[in-house]
Amino acid sequence: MWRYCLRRILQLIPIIIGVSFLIYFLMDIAPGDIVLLKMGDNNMTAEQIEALYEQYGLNQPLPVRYLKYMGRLLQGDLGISQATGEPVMDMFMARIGSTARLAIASVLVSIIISIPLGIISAVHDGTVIDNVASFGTLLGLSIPNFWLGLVLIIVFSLKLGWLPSNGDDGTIKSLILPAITIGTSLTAALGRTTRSSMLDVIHQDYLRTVRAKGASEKIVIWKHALKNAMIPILTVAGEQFAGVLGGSALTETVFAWPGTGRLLIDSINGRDVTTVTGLLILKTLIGSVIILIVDLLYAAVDPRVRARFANSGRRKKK
Amino acid sequence: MKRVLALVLATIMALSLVACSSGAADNSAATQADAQSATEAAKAEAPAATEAAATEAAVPEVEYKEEVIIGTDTKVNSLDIQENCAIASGYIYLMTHEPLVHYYEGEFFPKLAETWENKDGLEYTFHLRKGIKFHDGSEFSADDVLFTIKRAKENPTTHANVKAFVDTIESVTKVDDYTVVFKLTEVNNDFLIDMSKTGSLGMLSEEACAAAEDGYKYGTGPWVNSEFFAEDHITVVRNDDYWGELPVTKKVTFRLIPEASARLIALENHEIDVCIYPDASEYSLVEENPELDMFTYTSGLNYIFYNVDQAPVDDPNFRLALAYATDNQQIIDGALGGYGVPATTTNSLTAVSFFDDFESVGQSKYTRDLDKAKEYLAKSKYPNGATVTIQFTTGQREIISQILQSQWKDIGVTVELDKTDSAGRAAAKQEDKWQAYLASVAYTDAGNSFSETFVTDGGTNQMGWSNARVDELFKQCAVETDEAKRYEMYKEIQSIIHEECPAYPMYYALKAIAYNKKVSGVKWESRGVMEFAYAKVEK
Repeated sequence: MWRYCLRRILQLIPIIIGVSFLIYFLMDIAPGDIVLLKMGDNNMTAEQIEALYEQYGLNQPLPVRYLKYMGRLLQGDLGISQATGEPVMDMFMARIGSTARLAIASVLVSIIISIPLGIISAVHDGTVIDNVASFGTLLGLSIPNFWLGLVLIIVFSLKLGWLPSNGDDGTIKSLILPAITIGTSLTAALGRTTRSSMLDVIHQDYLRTVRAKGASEKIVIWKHALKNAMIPILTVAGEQFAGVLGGSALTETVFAWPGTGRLLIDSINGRDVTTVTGLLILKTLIGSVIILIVDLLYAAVDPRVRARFANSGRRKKK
Repeated sequence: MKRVLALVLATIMALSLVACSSGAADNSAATQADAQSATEAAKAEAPAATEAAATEAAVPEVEYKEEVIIGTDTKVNSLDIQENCAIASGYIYLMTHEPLVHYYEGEFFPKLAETWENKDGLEYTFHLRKGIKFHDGSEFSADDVLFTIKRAKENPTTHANVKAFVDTIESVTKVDDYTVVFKLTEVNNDFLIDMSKTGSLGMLSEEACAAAEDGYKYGTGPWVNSEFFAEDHITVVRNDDYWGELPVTKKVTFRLIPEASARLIALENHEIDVCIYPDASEYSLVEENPELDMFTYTSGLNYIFYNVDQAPVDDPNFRLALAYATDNQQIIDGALGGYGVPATTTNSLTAVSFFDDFESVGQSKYTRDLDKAKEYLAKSKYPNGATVTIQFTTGQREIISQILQSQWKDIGVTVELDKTDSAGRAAAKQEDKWQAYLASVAYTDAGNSFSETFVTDGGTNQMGWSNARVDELFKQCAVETDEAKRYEMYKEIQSIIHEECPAYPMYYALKAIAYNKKVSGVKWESRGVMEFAYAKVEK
């Protein structure tokens, strides 16, 4: 298992090289750069412009800049933001707390809504209940986050006065509305996965055996069926978590949530190459680690996977 | 497996329990803290209150909150007052930094200079206030004035408008620790107004700037920069050692809530006290709400800038054809929901140099007149019409471009839309690859303020337009002391611009600042910047 982990971590190296080069390249071909932005609509002399390019190290060709960046990255230095002059790592650390809390809460909301709905759909496959449940999860996906966020604010902050309308003051209260906004948009994928995964196992022989034993339907579904349907559900939930952890700019904008999503968008608009690259590298890293953890969790939920680990010392395809 | 499931469920339950309890704990802690600080505040205010009671007997005592929270729409990237001329940053600079003189509604007041005198318009002597301390503890003296101007001249990131102004200062000399002499390269009637801009000429501490890279954040004002988290909030706290009148409020927080509707809701919900720029479509919500009030004003002048080096907008007759094909009111109704004032000339509505009576000089105002438009088109190099690409950056300007598209179609001009972001615009400008661009410029009331757009290589002269007569007139205006003669020259300038139309004036946007009626003490500054230094909120 350790060898497996090590291999997965080593696989990250080419991914990060690829990601960082792609960002560097794309940001370079995007029109405008940070110096032109600093100039704004004002006229500057050629010397002033030259001085600014030199200050930001942009007077060198792309490959040189990229190699210099990678050299620093190897030493664990994500560089200094060109827009704010702060270390990218500090900017990230100042925001990741808010983003992580929102991500955890959103995925929890998604799980709480979609797993029961998915199971109900599967159990009542093809009936009106199935259709209503599927419609419900689909609705979550179809409603734009921006709109849902505002409606939630109007109802729960303005009309009812129960919850704050914006900001992250560190309490669960301020977390509820943004988490519901993001969480509901995740329910469609997770609900559908739960449904199809449950359908796969629900008709299998061993469940008939369980029923024959005289177990109640509740036990059959929640204990025996769900356990076996868990792997795809876990995969989707893990991917969703990794995704939301990357930040969600729209929801963060509506709720004035100080997360990494808005920082990333602002940095792209500001052509702050160092920050964009740094943030996306961190996002890639975190995402990969979470997916690795999810893969390892397979073994925890599924004894068959565990058995394979034990037999061969490495994971085979399921 | 049962165990895993049970564990997961238990964790969820535990989390939700923790959630509830921690929420409750936080709440009670907050109220406790509030109560505590309130009593502290009451104690602190007690002597002041008795004093007040002694002088003005029987005035019912009004209690104010410790903190004023202002919801803003624009991210402030830097606290460096010389780097940034944006209005959003102006709010903060006005509280933390102070210029030598203060300009308010046409009058000058002493600030860091107690008195000043002016010799033949070229030499200004300022006598500085003694015993003033910067927020870092360093003492304010003549050296800091010299340093502030020097830094503005030499720092490559100094904003172009600031740079343009300090370049008109030939030298600053120190006579003694509290006397400085400014020598100008030429007479500038607006010199004191320019010097009063906090957004650029608040005094910086030489010592603080030498000691720390962000030493520019220390000023002498009644407020000290405390927390800076650009995407979330900027907080200033009261400078208890301030030399002037102490504010009642102890802390002012600028909270960035980028979405306009969410910002207004936060105001309605009492989470913020002031909401900067609610969306025009929601002004009625403010008007209907008995708790709220709104301050509206006309802000920056919105232009169609033409690149006078690019066909087909290189031809003045073609530009005039477009001018007479344009209906400003339709733009205001269609894109701004009616919240705007049609512009008639290329100057600020309130500037002393404002002139739009073009009939008096044998011209006609720009109004939609298709016959006239076609006449100009026939006279132009492009009598059969042409294609014009309009570049813009915001959604609202996209609608304006679409309206222009339909208006100009009537004279056979095709419009292509080019939506870009600020960086894309900057690149297009640098490479000179654009034809028309929508943008606004905010001028001050100073007579020469609009020269920045129309003199050769002026700060906001995007058009590449150059007119020797206009350059000359602006120069003369700066030195002319006879108001009537000066105004005649401003008339001529605006009439020349009107005839050539390098930039077409569309409208002044009506902007608004909504606030809770319990807020008082906010002062209006020019360009739509409000001064929140003495803002307070009744409890």
